[in-house]
Amino acid sequence: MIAAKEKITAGQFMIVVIQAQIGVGILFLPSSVESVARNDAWISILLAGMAALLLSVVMWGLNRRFPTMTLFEFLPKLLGKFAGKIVQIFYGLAFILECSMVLVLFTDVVRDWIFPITPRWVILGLMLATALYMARENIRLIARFFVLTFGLIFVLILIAAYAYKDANILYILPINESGISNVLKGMLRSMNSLYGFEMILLCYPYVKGGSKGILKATLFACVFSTLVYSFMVFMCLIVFSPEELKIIPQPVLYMVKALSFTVIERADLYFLTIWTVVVITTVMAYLYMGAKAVASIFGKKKHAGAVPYVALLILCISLYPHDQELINKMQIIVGIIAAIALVVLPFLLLCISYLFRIKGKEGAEG
Amino acid sequence: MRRRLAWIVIGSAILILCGCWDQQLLKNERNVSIGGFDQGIDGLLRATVSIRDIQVSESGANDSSEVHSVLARSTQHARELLNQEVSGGYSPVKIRVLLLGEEFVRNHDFLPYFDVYYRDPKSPLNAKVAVTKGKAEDLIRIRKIGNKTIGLHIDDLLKGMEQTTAIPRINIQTLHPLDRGYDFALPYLVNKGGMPSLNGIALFSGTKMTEILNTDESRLYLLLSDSMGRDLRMTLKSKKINASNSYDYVTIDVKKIQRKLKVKVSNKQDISVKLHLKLRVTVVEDPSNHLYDITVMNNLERILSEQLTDDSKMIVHKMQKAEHDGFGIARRLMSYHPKLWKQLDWIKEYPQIPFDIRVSLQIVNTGITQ
Repeated sequence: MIAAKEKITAGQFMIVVIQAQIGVGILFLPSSVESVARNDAWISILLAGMAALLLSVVMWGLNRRFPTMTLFEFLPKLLGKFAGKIVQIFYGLAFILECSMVLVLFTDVVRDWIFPITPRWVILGLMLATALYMARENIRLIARFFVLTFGLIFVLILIAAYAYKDANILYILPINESGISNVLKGMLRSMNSLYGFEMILLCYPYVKGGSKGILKATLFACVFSTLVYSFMVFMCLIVFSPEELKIIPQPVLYMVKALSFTVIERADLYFLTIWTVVVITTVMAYLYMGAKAVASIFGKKKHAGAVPYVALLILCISLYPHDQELINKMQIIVGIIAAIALVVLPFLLLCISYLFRIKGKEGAEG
Repeated sequence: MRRRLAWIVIGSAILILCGCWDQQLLKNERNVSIGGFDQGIDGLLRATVSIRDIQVSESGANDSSEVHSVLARSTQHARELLNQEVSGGYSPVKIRVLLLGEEFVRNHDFLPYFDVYYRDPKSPLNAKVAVTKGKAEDLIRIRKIGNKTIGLHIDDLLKGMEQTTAIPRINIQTLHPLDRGYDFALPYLVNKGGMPSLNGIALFSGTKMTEILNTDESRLYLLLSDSMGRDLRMTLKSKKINASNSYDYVTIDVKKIQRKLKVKVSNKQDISVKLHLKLRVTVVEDPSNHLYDITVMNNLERILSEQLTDDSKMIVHKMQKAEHDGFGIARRLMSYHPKLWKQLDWIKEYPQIPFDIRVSLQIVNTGITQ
């Protein structure tokens, strides 16, 4: 049974999901999606948001059948001991790889924009040390920290919105120039940035209130993140011409860089400072999930002991890729693994659960 | 014990790691305040910079300006060469103004020399850019005007001119001329007896300068392209005949503009442009004092409107001859008529496009006298 002091409210849960979703992607999304969907990239993001909504409903449906258990607790029930373990390992791998990917992209940006000489392990170490400190705690403390830093997302939006003065709305037109297939391709690319709703698989039993409240919170979170992403992409599309977006990998920063407020120059540094906090919450969320997975693989109930080892593993993985080519390859691999873990598996599990009528016991709070 | 160890590790990390790798101290850097590009011999680039130093003494701060010129292969190469001449670390991150010599931008594509500004994260993207008559070097060699160094002086000059809508608001970032569908114009400076002075704007076609507009024309040009600054003042003839004395002029402040720009494509794929401008103005100087009479006022409105319409037509004609698409007609075609745009030879087509230009003017206020 889960102690009352480890429980979080539905509102807190919503913010946890948002913080896990909005992370490193916000900088890369505009140009990576634009490269396939051209000036219809914002449509791709909206479509991706809808897909995320659908996926989170599937996960919710799965969890609703086991209201007192997390994913790792009900996996053996659904698949049997052996297969359950394999899937557990797979999930653990997926979370660890996703976390490493976030960190690789993060250090890349930091190296290019602020600290060109500082070695990567220093930045990675600092990030992971902070995340480790937080991820050892229970979900309630993590949720509180996420709520505390939630406001920073709005600061980012405000800074970016200021760039509207250089915008030219004509860049958006003509709508649907790139065609449906490219928009869909762009949608697949942007899915990566919307992952984070898988928190529901691990947090469901910790959330107070009925299952409807949890569904609502997840859906709100997805809608919010989608809107933030599409806003950023839209801003970049109207500030930069298509040719420019091709050669600028982090258009949001570039757009902010040229801004000069009365006292402040180089707004991109302020943007990055705030953004670091937003990224670290994502790292914390994944570190937490990874540690949970590893702890359950070894049959431990508490995840805190596993966190340092997971962090070390993540550090090693994220130190590995050196050049752009490797990073791209890693991105593709992680994308596939994440797609299996978050799209295919939950759906299969849900089917199994319904077909074989496997259900968890109705808990007191079910 | 463990906790104490953790604190020691954290504490020493904070103390030791600070500024280990990416430290750049302002006191070690020599900051450039203004830079200039000129055409050098053999296709090389002649780069000139003025470095601003501040010496603080008991009598207050004293600015000094140190000028260096080098002949280089590229911008980054110029930086290396300058670093060899300059004491201390050479740092271009605080550049305020970048000057381009007229000869240089008329004959050269200057874009390759700008690449490093877009690539380096520390580069000053909000530095202003201007074209100078003759050589940029001559202007930078003025060094100081009054107490101000030349970089500061030109920066302030351009800022003031932006506010009164004599020149467009433009910096390195906003002129990035990649497939935007419109051409940009830069301020045009001349050396007036050892004093930099604004003399209108330089029109570009793509990345080459093709034409100059004087300050009167540039104000109207900016009105037509709907990019008014904080305020805008024009002095126009108040009579149709040739003005003979100062009674025949009237000065107006533009308060509000309403621009309608429509690009029409007929069934036969003929492009035409409709450009209508409505101005609401205040009369700030009218020596002949006859505005109490409503018919006189209407008459004045009519004369001014006609005058502005004629001037606008002249400006557009000049733009078309110079292949300068400052209103973004190309962008509109790309956005609204993408099929037509793909089969268009824009450079040939643009000068042929008929413009329907009309400027109408309404006096809303005449100051505290009538």
